[in-house]
Amino acid sequence: MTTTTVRHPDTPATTAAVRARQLTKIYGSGSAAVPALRGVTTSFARAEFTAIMGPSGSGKSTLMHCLAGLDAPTDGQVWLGETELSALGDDALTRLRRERVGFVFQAFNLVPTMTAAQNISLPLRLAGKRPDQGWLGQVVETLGLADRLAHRPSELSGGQQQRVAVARALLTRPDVLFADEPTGALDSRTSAEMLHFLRASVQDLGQTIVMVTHDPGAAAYADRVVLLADGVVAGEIVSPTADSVLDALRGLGA
Amino acid sequence: MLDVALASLRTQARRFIAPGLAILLGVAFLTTSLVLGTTAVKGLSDSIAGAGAGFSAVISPPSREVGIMPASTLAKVEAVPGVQDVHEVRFAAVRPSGDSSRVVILTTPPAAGSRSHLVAGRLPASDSEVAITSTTRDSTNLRIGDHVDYAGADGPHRFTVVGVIDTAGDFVFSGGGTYAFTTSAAVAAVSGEDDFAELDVTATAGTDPKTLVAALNTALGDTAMARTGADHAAYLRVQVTGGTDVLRLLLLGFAGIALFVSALVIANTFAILAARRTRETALLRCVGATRRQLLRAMSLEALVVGFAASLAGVATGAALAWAGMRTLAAFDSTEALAGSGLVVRPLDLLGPLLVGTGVTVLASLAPLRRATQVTPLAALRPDLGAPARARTSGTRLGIGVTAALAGAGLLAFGGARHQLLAGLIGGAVSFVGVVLLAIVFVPALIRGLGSPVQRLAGVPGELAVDNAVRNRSRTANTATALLVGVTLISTMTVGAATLLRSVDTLLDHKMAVDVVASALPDAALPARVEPLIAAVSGVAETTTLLGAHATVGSREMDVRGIDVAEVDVIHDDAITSALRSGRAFVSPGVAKDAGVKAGERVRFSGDKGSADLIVEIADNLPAAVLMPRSELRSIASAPGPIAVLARLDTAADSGALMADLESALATTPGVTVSGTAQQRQEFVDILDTVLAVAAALLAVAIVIAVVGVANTISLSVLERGQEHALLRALGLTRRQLRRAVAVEAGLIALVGGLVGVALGIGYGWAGAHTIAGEEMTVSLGMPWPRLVLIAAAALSAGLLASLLPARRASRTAPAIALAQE
Repeated sequence: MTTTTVRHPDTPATTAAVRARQLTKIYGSGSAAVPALRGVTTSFARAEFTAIMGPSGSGKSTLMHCLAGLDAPTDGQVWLGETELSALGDDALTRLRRERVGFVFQAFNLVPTMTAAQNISLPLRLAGKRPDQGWLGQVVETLGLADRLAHRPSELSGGQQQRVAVARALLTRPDVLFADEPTGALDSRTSAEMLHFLRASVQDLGQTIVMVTHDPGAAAYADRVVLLADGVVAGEIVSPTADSVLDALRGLGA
Repeated sequence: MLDVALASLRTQARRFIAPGLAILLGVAFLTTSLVLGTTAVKGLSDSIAGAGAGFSAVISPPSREVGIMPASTLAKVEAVPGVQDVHEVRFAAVRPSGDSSRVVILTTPPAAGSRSHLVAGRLPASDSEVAITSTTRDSTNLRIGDHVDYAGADGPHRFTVVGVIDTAGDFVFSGGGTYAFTTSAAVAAVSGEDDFAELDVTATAGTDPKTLVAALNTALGDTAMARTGADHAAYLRVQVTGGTDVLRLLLLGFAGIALFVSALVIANTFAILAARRTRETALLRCVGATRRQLLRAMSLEALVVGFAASLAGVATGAALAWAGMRTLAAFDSTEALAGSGLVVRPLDLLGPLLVGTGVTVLASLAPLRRATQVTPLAALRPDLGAPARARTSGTRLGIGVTAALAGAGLLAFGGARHQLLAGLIGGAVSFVGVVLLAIVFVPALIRGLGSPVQRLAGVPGELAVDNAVRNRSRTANTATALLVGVTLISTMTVGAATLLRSVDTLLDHKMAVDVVASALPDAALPARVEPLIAAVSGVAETTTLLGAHATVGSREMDVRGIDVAEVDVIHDDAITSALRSGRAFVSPGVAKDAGVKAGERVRFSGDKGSADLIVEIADNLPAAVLMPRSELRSIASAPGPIAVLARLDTAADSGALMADLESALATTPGVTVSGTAQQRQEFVDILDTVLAVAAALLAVAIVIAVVGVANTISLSVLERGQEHALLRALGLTRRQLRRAVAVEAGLIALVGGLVGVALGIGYGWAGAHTIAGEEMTVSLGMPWPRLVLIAAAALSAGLLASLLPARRASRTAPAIALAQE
């Protein structure tokens, strides 16, 4: 087990885009209680591409759900910028998700009855706002979706669907873009294109991205990897490569 | 496959609550109708049972039109050999002196074998003795030994009360009249007429009733009809239950409609559930199940659901019938149902059970068969979330259009030629066409409503419209279920309103005055009647008619005089313009009797003088002979006020107005109100009652349809769990999600309601034409307030139905649903 590249973070960053303190999540109760997160403390800096990794059952998806305000933790706190999420009710959390958080999932990202254009502008329309046409044009152009805007998801390939999801997530210029296994359903070439684009948006546009993945190759695109095991933070890798990530995972018993 | 079916039933039991409810309601309705019908028929039959049973022969008038037999019949009957004794039955309507507002029916005592029986005293033996009913004894203070006077044709007759008879449960004396019993001769003496209503014959020992009846009929010829006692009872039973049979058919018809709607809900449910289980079904096909095995397993589910729901339905129906019996018996004036309890034939319970189960299995057959067509590969293909756009079968569209057009044509023909059968068939066929085409126009209409909805409801509205048109057959079926009930109610409402408008024109032709308040014959009208009537709000004009005796030509008649200045109370311009001095109006009957023609000059002579007046004929006069007051005063010395005529404001609400009139005239007993307003009100009351009953019966079908809406919406919500979680993750609040679900349900219900009302207008108008017949001119009556109410009720029902599913949809946490694969 290598030690030099693994460091336990314990200083809270003041310019963190999103951070958690002693985050705990227990499913079920009594003898059937399953602790998914057991006191996770971590933070994610702005304009950084961070990957969360760990073996299955480590709680990485749960961590992301809590950070994004999709799920309420059993204990602990989450801050999105200066906003403490545990103090917010469901309506407030929902409104927050419209513009300050972006999502890309592994599958089932789009509303089947809406066109690509409608899907992209959906969070903004939910907020009752109209998209900035200039920025919209730029995002659509960069993602190569210009001729696909009027199509429904069933008429798009997997890669195109994911790109629409990314466009939607970027359109609102959110505080954080959360991606849960975004390349899981894609072939290697499309995967590489997607990750490349995500990387570019961090470097060129200053977007903060937190990505959950199990693929060391994908994690290599990130600036930092947070390792999770058995519901606690098990380590961190700065400037990861596929090899260093693979080694670290092996050490965790992945 | 059995365990597969049962396992899925156990886990999915909750999905079948709504469709189960739909079947339960339909079956319960059917059961209640059958049980109540059987009970009512038995009760009525029992109450007739006594009539005629003890007699060898019963002689009654030849038909219902000729209600009496001349006195000579008795001699003819007694002359026939084999006749030992004849029990005479006579009826006379008399008034108790001192209470001129009541009518008592004087008749001969009930025969020994009937359900009536003596409870106190004895039967009248002489012509001055009378027995009263126990009801009379309870409601007045007449007791045995008291004297009572009945006013007949020639003045009052005095009777002594000698006995009390209880007539409860005897059909002959049901109907709410007050009866009193005396000898046959006394009845004839009081009424001044000696006709018989019935003659009951006891034969000498050993005489065969059938031969006796044959001999009687030969002797009687056309004047009367003889039947054996048993045949007479059967004849009565047919008369009485004939009406009940029609009622039972009607109830069964409505139950059929309710079950049809249930079938729609069932078909829809199984279609949706099958769609959800495509993967599982495909997996089973992968593993080696044949299509037939799958169909059998899924049909087993339908069988179990149908049987369980029908069983519950039969139990509910029987309980409702029992409760209904209790309520009916409380209101039953005939007391025909009092004796018997609930009559439950096994068929009345078994039938609905089989029908309900059968309907469920049959309704599920088509969707399930379609479900088994899924290929095994579907298990391996990823779920795209939106079903491929199924193209509507061309044959379905073709049949639908043909049926709709052909049916409409037949309906128009039936309306124009007043052919009821053609109209009914045309209506039914065209409706089938509409149902087949629903899959096209329902989604189209929802899209049409889409833009205003989006403007009102924002993104949730957009979601609702998209979701509603997504599965066209599912949405169309749900809307159709509601369409059935709404169309029927709208049809009846519009039909009734149209009939009412046409009746107005008809009534005006029959009598041209709104209100006629007259005193009893030969009684004077109190002076305060006219101001009392004039004071009622809604009364536009009043006038008092004076009356006197006069000779017209050679006949002595009652003649009425009207103040020419107030002649506008009469609606008819032809009359009002011609009524002036020197003229008089007579009815066609008087004209014929007196032998006069229109335009002729006729002499009217009273006790003061005579006048020669030019006569006009009209058939809608408020009196047989009408002339200006000035003329009347010239021929009669002291014409007295005889009636008050009134004209009502056209805008007045006739129901409230008639009620106000009645209460205004309560202080003047003996004044009867007639006229077109009264008749119109009676007609309105009848129509309203029919409408209310029909609406109540249709309510079952509509409730089932609403259950269907709730069912479709909640199953759709279940289907779209992941999608809803996604939307919540993207920023749709709980309230917005609830609104989307509610709007979706509201749209489907609203389209069903609007199309139903539109169809109802068409069918109602055509129906009114068909029923109206040649003599009425039919003008379309559009009861807008009621129609808007119906559409609004459909909309609110849809919104109500979405409450629970919407709540359930909004409660899923976004993360939990997304985490599921």
